Amino acid sequence: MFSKPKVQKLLGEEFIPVAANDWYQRRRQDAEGHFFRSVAAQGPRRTEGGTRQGHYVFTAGGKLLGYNNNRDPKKRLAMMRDALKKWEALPDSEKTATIPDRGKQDAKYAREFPKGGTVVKVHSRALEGKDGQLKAAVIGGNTPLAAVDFLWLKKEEVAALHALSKSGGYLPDRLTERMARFHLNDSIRGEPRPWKRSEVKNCTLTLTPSGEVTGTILINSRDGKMGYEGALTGTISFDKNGNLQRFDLFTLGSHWGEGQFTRGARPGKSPLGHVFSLTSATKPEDQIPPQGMHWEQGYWEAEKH
Amino acid sequence: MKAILISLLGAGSLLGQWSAEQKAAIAEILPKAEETAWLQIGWRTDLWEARREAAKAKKPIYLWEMDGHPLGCV
Repeated sequence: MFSKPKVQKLLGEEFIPVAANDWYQRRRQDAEGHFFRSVAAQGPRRTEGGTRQGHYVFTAGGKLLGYNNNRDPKKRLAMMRDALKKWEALPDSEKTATIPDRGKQDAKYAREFPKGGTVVKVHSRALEGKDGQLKAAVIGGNTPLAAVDFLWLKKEEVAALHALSKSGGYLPDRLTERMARFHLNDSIRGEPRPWKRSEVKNCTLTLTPSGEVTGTILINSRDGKMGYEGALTGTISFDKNGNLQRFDLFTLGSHWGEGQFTRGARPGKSPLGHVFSLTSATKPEDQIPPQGMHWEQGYWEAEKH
Repeated sequence: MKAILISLLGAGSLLGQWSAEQKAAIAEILPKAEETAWLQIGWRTDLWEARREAAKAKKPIYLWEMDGHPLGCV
């Protein structure tokens, strides 16, 4: 629906469009969390602790004008137009608001991009073999969209990589475990759970002084019902000042099984591809936290927890 | 299938100069232009700042709220 020019025009001209992750928003105990929940409570999403996902239209002061969680574009568009009518009927005083300082954010649920950090965009796609080539898989008559996630690196981690690049060697466990556990998932149909440490049977990635990265990955759940097996190749390189210039990695593998929020997996082992690429992270959509970062320390210290 | 995977990854990256087969597979994985058209909307990701912007512009807020960030995952 949001790909349609008519909808884009409407959203861009008549609204301030915002996208947010409900997992954090419904939990955070700070001004933003209280505000969001006070808006949601005016609609049907008011169960304590329950999901509040959906599409909302409201004033800056927090008055709900419309809500919809229907996938039917016509119904959502109707909600937008109905909300605009309600907006037009509001007195001028309700079309603006004095927004206070947001105060201290709930560190448990407010994620902040690390100062001087690096974002690597991770795209993944279900694949299938066709005429001796790998193609985007057609599942149930449709080609599922590419999934996107973001690998975050701290400044000191990039510096350590730069030092390693001079001699070559194994990539640090912290980075390889982060990549394996949080980013080599089957995220094609929803939110995958991160792999557990004990499930990563092998993830050995090697960086040569010339910048070439290679390695293999084997992940298997305790009961063997979910897993991933693949190989990685690519380049990590730096400019003469030690700035990361390339972080281009490509993995191909097979995944199997499904999780609580990734139902509908293809039977057996199926091809899955991931592409890691450096991004300047100047746009808001490139600065959202990694999908598996619900427990922040667990993400940053993937080799420990 | 396994033969395709071995063939693609066995070639090595040649310092990032992907082989033709690798380039083709990467092109299959990366999103097509029509898949990312919705990003042209200019989504804000900070609700509090969006409130300020909405109050100043005298516009309503449209919030897309999902379990899993709408701009990530799928």
